Formats: sequence, structure tokens, C-alpha cells
Amino acid sequence: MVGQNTNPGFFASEVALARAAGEGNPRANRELAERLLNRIRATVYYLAAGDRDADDLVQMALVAILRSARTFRGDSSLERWGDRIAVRTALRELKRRRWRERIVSLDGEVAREGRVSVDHDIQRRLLRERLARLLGKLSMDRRTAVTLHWMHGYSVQEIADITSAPANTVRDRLRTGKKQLKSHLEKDPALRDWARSFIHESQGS
Amino acid sequence: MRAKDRSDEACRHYERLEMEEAAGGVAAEHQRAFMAEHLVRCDSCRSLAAASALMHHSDDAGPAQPLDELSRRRFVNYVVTQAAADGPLGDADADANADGDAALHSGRYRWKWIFAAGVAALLVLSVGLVLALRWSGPKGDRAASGRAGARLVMRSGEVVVEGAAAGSDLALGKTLWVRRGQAALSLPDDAYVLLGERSAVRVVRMSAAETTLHLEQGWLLAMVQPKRHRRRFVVTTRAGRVEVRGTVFTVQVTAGRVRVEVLRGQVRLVNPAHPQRLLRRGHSAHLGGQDLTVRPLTARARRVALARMATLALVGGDRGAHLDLRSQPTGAEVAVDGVVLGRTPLSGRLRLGHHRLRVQLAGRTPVQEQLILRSGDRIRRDYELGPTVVSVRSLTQSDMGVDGIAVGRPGAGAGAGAGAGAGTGTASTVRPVEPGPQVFPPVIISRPKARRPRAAKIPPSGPDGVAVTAGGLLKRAQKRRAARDWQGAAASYRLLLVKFPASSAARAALVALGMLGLDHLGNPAGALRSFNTYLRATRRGVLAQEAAYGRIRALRRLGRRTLELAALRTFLKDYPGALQAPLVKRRLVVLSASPTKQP
Repeated sequence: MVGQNTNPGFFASEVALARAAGEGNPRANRELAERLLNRIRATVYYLAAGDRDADDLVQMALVAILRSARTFRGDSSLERWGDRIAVRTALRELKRRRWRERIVSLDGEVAREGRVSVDHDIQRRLLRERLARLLGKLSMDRRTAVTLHWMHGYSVQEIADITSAPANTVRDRLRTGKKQLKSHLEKDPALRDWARSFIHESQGS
Repeated sequence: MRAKDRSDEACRHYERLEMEEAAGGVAAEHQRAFMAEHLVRCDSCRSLAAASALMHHSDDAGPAQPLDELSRRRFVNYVVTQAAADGPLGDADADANADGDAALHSGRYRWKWIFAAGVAALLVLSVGLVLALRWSGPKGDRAASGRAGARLVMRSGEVVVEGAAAGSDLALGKTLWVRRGQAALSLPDDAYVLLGERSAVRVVRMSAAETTLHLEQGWLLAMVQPKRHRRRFVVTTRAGRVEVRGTVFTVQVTAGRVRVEVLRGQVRLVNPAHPQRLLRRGHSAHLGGQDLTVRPLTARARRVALARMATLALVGGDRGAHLDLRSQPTGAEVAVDGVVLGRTPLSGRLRLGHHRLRVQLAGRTPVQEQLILRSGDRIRRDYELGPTVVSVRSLTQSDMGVDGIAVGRPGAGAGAGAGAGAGTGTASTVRPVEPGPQVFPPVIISRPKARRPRAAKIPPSGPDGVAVTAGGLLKRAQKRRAARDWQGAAASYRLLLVKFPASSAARAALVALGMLGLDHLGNPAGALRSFNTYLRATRRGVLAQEAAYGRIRALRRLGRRTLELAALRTFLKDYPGALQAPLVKRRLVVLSASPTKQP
């Protein structure tokens, strides 16, 4: 799948945009960062399990993407290429962190206990936050596999490429990660309620 | 029993099909039908499918707090500036980032790996040798890490170290007094201790088997890393001792009693009057006297301890960057990443990485700075905090004080902006980032429009004549907000309020409507009505904090000073640990200081 997609912005194509960003064009850098910001934030928040320092990781990931922009050749879409760099940067940084630095996010846990029944998009965000915290109970490898598969629909082979792990290992991580998450989901009242209404909602939409 | 077996078999079949799809296979029609049918029947598989759907990316920020326009712009500005400052990656690094495998397996990298593996093997051998020698030798009172004492890694206020020439090490048997402010100690095995005001602690013993501190008075919070921690960590007091192998706990010595609180893990209490007792996380106990009462931690105690923990988590060990902060006048509050570290003069080691530093004192212009700390950095700052200059005009145009109070750089006057020079002292690797680097917490700044917007039209009841539901209206409002159609979104919320006034969705719609009125429609009076209605209905609702804060902003926009003052005080009382609390405090100070009424 050659990624010479049309780009709605100023630049003619994704490759042109990346090339200009690689050459230090501020407009291209800005457009590239704007384009990937939401996607990278969402991905990194799940990988960091809703840690309050996740935005620091997002910044690092975006900086890494801009600094590597000239390597984009258009073999895949810009988003997929960005995902790969962001995931690698975030994982590298998360592995570097120590136990002492992770426990600070407890504060948020205390503040956000309770059931969720608010505006639909706020509700979705709160549910996603809960989900991110549940993902935090999985090991980093399993969390990465589940996140990439569920969020962006990456196949086992694609996840294996991104994480530099064998496909069979990724398959096993995905299977055990889902199994583990299933037991955690059953204990979360808000997500259980959401799951109950899931079939109805998906049929309705 | 048979039905359960059948259900398990169906679940396994479903998982198998899912995994085949994940591996790139395409399910046949009958397999899809089976999967859909199974989802209806099986609760646990449905919960996984629901989670997967919830997580599916739809061009929003997922679980992250959405950024408003200003924060987004600042975020992108920061990233672009940082990338430009660092320059493009080298070929090998960039390839490793983008392609990974090819670069990692190229000859150059293979040799690097072989070399690294050799070095690692040598290191392991030498560490093993050192450990073997130590365990075979006599055990005594010596520090395992080579220094016989604790290292003072952070001091703020008036801290006295007995018999210390350099003032950074606390020798065995010596006492550390914190007369004013706070201090942090680093101990072997990644153990850290935070000491509060009017506290005194002595290092009693440091051996390969045990680290013992004696708390004379005051309080300490200890963070002892589990698993890797091989030696026992003990805090003795006059009433008993606390033993631990990996946990977070607080010990407080007051005139009458000794109080122990455990936040993580568990500790063993050894009290002469009682047999040993384990104290688990989330509990507190009093040592001394005849009774040993164990109680669950109160919410307040937990909050206080978590705040102290956050302070300690910022402190870096021997590898941290050194920070030395002074101010004129002294006693200014120093906050890093929103966590209060102490008061000036403050010196200590901060963990590496990106930090937001803020120095503030009541009635003075606060200073904020973005720091990027790397190993070995020594940062010295001497801030001159000038008196606050409050511009009534700018305050009325901005929200909650961030733009209203001028933020200056050290050495520059109030409102000098980010272009002024750095403070006195050496600023070796601090990189001030321009423009204003403050990204979090997101501050919504909106300016009232010149004319009132036209009244929004109520949309028809359904797109296809279908009866509308509360969920449908919410979805509609959400879509309109995503398309930046604020009027349309407000109309959907209003319709929801009219049609389903008793639903929980209606309460949420009130807050959303208030926010819209405040941030996009230039209608603070309407926003105030929405927030008031919400707060009257549910004082302790999920969105009560947002509503209370929105009410403050609306009152401010309307210039209703007395009500705003009362609302600020109530907010601080109800939500002392809220994200907006510092802004609210600052606004309270500004309002209390200026006797004249604002227009």
C-alpha cells in the first residue's frame, strides 16, 4: 500500500510534507505535529496507563517524529509511520522510568472513584480513562499489543514489526492480555454497565 | 454443568476466530454470525468487545483530557521549537526509529551489541565478585554503598546538619534538624525520606543488613523500594519501632504519641507494651501508651500523605540534576510540575527530564520557567519577586489570572515576558522555551464577543422523523461540537433539557451548556444559570467540581465580585486538592488585596 495519499493541507502529499518537515520548514513541522497530535496522545495515554506524565511522553514522541521526518518514504501512511516512532519512543521512556515515579498517579485514582454517568463524550473519556488504568495492570508488552490492535486495528504481524518481536510472541501477548483484561473488566462496575449497553448501542448506531 | 461447558467451548471458539482475524484472516459469513450471536449471549466476551470498541481511535485524544485551542497551540509550539533546537536525528538513529529492524541488524549495530554484551558480562562478573567478598567478610556498621551516612538531596528553609562540613551528608550518629521548610534524604537501596518542619532525625545504624533512623520529633515520610531492597529499613521512635522491607509510610512524633500511616505495602510495629503487629496499607496506628489503635486512614490524611509522596517522587538521587533556588524576598513557594517542593532558599537534586518550575509569593509577581534537566546539570537561580501589578483591564479579558498576572523572568520587571535574560548565577543547560511553555493544566481563555450571538434555533425532533432519545441528543451535540458548531451544540443540549429534564444526561448537559456559554458563545449570564441549576440539583455530582469552577469564571466575567469571593472560598474549602486550586488561591489573593470594585 503506497502512501501517496492526498493531503488536505498546504503540502501536495504526505511525502512532500514529511520532506519539508525534515528540512526544518516550520509550517510543515507545525502541520505534521497538528495532524498526529490527537492520535499520538490517545495511543501514548493508553501505553502509559493514564499516567499524569503521559503528556511529557507525547511531547518526546512528537519531537522524535519531527526529528525523523526526513526518513519517511511513503511506504505506509504517515499515521502508521508516526505510530511506529511514537510507540518506540514511549516504550523506551516508560522502561527507563522507575517504580518511584509511577506511584504518583495514585492521586488521580483517588479523585476519580465512583460511577460514571455524565455527558456522552465526557462519559466516553472517563470510561477510556478507566480502561487505561485497567490496561496499566497488564505488563508493558501485553498492554502494547492490546492497545495497537484495538486502537488502530494493527494485525499481529504489524505489531510484531513495530515492537521488533516475533509474531508468535505477539499473538501470545495479545491472547493473554485480553484474557487478563477480561477478568479486570468484570470487576469494574462502570465498564460492566457500558458493556451491557454495548450491543444495544452498536445496533442503534 | 453441561451448559457451562458449552458456554466455555463457545467462548474458546469465539476467541479463536478473533485471533484468526487479528492474524489477518477473514471470517466467513457463518463465523461472523456465530460471533455476533455469541456476543449477545456471553457477558464476558461482550465486555471485551465493548472495551475494544471504546478504545477504537476516532480522531480524538482518547482517554486524555482534550486540549483547548490555546493549549493545543502551545503544545505544538513547544514540540516544534524543541525539534528545531535538537536538530534532525542522525541517519542511524532516525532509521532505527522508523525502520528498526534493518538498522538494528546492520553490521555496525551488531558490533555495538556484541561490545555492549561484553561490557555487561564484565560488569556482572565484577559485581558478583564484590558481593561475594562482602558477604564473606565480617558484618559491621558500614554503609553498603561506600558512604557511612545519608545524603541530603533536598533542603528548603532552615536545615541544620550536625557536624557536616559540606552540608550534603548526614554522618552516622549525627542529627539533622529541619527548623523551617523541608528536607529530603537519600539512603542506600533507593530509599528516600522526606522530613517535615520542626523535625529531627538521626542515622543510627547502616549495615549490610539494616538501615536505622531515629526520629526525635516531627514527621518523616519514607519511600522504600520493594524487591530490590535487601536490607531492613527501620525507624525508631521513643515509643517503638517501625520495620519494613519495601513500602511507603509516614511516622509522626507529637508531644504525646507516635502516629504511623501506611500508604503502600505493610510495616511491622514493634512496641514494648504490645506484641509485634503488622500494619497494612491504608491504615494508621498510634504507638506508645497502653492502647494500640489501628484505624483506616482518613481521606484528609491520605491526601496529605500523597502530596508529600509526590514531593519526594520529584527528588532525584545521586544522578539527579542539582537545583539551587533563592529569591528576594525569601520564603517564596517553589512548585515543580504543580507539586510544592518547599520554600526558598531551596537546594536539592531533582529527577531528570522536563519540569515546570514556578516560584510564587503572596502579593508578588510569580515566576515560571520550563526546565530540561540532564544528568550532571547544576542550575542556580536568584529571583527578584517584584510586587504584583494587577491590570484590571487585562484581568477582565482573561480567565482565572494566568494572563491577568504578568509573568516575568528573573531579573526582568513584571510583565517583561519571556525574552528577558536568565537570573544571576550559572544557567548551564537550562533552555527557556518560547513562546510560553505552560501547557498543563489546560487553561481555557476566551474573549467575550463584541455582540451577543443570535438565539439558536431548536432543531427538529429527529433527522428522519424518528423520536429523539437523550442519548441521541447527546450524540448530536457531541458531533456539532466536534464540527465547532457551538450554536448547534447548545441547541441540542437545550432540547435535551426540555425533553428529558429528569435524566442524568440532562445534568451533564447543564455543565456542558455552561462551558459552551462561557468559552464559545460569550454568554456568561446563561452559563451562570446553567451551573447554578446543576449545583442546586447535585451538590456532590460527578461534575460538581467543574460546575463550581465554571460558576467562579462566570461570576468573574459578570464582574460580581462579592459572589465571586464567596464562590472562591467555597471552592477551596470543598476541593483543596483540585487542579484549579492554585489559580483560585491566586485570584482570592488578588480580590482580597484590591479594595475597589471592578467594573
